[in-house]
Amino acid sequence: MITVYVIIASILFLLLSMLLEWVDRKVYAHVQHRVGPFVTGYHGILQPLADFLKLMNKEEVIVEGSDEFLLHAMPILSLSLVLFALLFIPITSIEGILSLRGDLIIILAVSVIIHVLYIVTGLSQPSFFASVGAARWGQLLVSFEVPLLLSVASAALVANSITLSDIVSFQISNFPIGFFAPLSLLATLFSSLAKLEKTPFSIPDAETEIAGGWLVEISGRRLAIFRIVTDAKYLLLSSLVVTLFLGGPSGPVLPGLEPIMYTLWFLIKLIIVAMILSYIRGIVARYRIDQAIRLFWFRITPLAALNLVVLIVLSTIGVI
Amino acid sequence: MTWEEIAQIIISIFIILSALAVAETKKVVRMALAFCVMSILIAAMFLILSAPYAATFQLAIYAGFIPIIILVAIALMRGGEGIED
Repeated sequence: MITVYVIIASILFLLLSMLLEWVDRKVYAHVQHRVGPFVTGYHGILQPLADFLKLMNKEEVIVEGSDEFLLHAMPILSLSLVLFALLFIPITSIEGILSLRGDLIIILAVSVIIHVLYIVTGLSQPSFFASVGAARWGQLLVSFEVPLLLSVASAALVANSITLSDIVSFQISNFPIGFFAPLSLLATLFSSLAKLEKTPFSIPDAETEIAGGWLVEISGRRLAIFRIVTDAKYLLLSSLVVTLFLGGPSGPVLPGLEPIMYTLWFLIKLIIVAMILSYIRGIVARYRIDQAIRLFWFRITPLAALNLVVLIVLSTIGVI
Repeated sequence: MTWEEIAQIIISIFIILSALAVAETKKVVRMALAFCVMSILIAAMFLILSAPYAATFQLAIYAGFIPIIILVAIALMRGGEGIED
């Protein structure tokens, strides 16, 4: 039975991540006074699906000298990993489809392992651009994971648990954690932008500098899968922000209609967070790699650490 | 034999195989990836042995961060051309 749930949920997650990509492109276009995708479906809502199908039909080129086995394995592995992490997110109730003790750390670890696979993809191509992109991914990764872990730690500290269902039920019975950890929320948003390589931190695949970076020799079906992995990661990080800081699926609920109302509240919050991320992407320009690392280590990590220290003091004297 | 014992035996075999892959593979990128796989399998073993916290920290540190440090070192040496074969 759980297999059926997992298959249906995976398809729904893929469709939802395509919807998020449409929201992202629409917001980005409207910030720049364009209309964005408009032809396929209502206001271009089917455009991500059309792009995906078009890329699936393209010819695949594998450059001589690249590691074919790894290049074939990486897209599938990263897609399955990101879908596995999404199964833990609580949407229709306070528990996800999968739920076990300490699943918050599993989600964080899986989202790091996906980046390991990205770096391996970059290193298995013979191109110099791909090696530079992979090196940039690694340098960026060690700088943005620290504030992300600190802010997640402060959310776990307030709820006194590292299990997502406990964190959500704490927020339903008390208050959204974002009220007590606004700086952590900010740090998580910035780290999410870097994890999604959106514009201020689109350093590993900067088109104008290194011609696509770690994706430079990837084409056809594998490029399609990598793009949908990026979309699913967008869904994963936005829903992680919603779950940890904004109360998850909680909200005013009619009795008897809990699953539907929970899903509705979750989707509303999810789309708001996704629109904020797209808006930031639209109004700023790309950092150099040293500027990004300096921003994370000297600005955002201290903010997240400050919030964590304040929360530790507050919980020691018994306020929360 | 319960299903847990069967799973333990199968996972143990794969742990040994991936550890051998770490030692025996010629390409250094595949080595790092095999190390990552081995750590994930050890985490699964901890989970079967009903130690979820040990499993999660094994997953976060050994499967997440150690391969990244190895891969960053490789990437900064320009794909490790000097090391392969």
